[in-house]
Amino acid sequence: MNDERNLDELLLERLSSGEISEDDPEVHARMAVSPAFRELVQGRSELLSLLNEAAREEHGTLARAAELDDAPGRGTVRDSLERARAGGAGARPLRLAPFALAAAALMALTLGAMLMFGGDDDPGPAPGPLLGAPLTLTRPSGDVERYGPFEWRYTLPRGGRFELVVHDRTGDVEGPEVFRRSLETNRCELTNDEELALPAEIEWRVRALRAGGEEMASAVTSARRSQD
Amino acid sequence: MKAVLADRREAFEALADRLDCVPRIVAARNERIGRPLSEEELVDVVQNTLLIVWRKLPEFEGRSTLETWIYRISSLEIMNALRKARRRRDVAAPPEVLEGVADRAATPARIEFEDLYLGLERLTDEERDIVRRKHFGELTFEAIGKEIGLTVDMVKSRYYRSLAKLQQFLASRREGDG
Repeated sequence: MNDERNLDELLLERLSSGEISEDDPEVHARMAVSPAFRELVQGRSELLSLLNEAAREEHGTLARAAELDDAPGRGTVRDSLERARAGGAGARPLRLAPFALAAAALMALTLGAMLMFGGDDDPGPAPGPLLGAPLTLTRPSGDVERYGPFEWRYTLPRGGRFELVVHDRTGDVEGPEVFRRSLETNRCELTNDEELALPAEIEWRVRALRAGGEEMASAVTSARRSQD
Repeated sequence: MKAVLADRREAFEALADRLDCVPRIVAARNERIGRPLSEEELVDVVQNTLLIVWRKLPEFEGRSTLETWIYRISSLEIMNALRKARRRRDVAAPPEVLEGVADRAATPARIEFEDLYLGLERLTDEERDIVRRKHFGELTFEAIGKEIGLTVDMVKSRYYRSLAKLQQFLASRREGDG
């Protein structure tokens, strides 16, 4: 019984990773004899679809949010934070319970201290993006038809910039730098010539820099152009 | 002391600038699900979201961007607001108004998103991080391993374990509904 369960789980793992599809004869054969496996496959397939759908919804919402110039409640953000920071009972929003207000005021002080001092070893005053949020590289990654445009997610503080550096990774060894650009946007378009000049396999890194040049976050990933 | 106060003000201003995204995220989400909430209700959602963000800031470890973290909090707050709005309108509004609100507010798919986010919250930080990087960041196992310092096999095994947990959680929620 345990062997059968292990077999089901191994097959399910290969299915989840995309190594095999639901049309694979091995999957079909197992589904035909095991209702439990059939149920597992169905549930896993639904979960993966749900995750991808939720991701699309999240990306779509955040992209739309970035386009909006105004939104209900926008004028209240600073006031709400000011009230929470000040901890003034008379000024608090009506829905705030006293304990919540106290907690918010405490968090404000904690946050203020974190932003000001950034830890024992770093007394730098520049607050920058919040609490070291990571930089996420969105594309290109893995096998792609073309590399450009390069895209990533991160919110820069005022005066900040990104530095994109691409290295040749053909042969699984980090080769020479082949492309570099400094940008203020989360996207780097390539001209056709620039695209064609890039090697078959690359490793690319983006660093987020403060106005003074100090690094706040960085991320690296690799990509391979399948048409090469 | 003046310098410290000036620094604190600067830090606070930076935070306020960053949290300016909250109303826009809330409005964008409302728009994408068919604008079931009124402007007044959206302002309430914004204030609730800000309070939760404020309260949870020390827990924010930077495993996702601030915006995606806020998106998750505000999505759950929007679901709460929809439930409240429906209850209010059940009492106060004539049936023809109710129909519109109910139809636009929460299809089963949106409830599933809510369950999915609740399920993600129940994973360990590392498991959630891997699932998010895989599906929301569209990264390969290799790229995830490189970013978080794990071998590809370790990433895969944690990913499968997370999927199994999520699947189990969603199944239990469905049974609960049934």
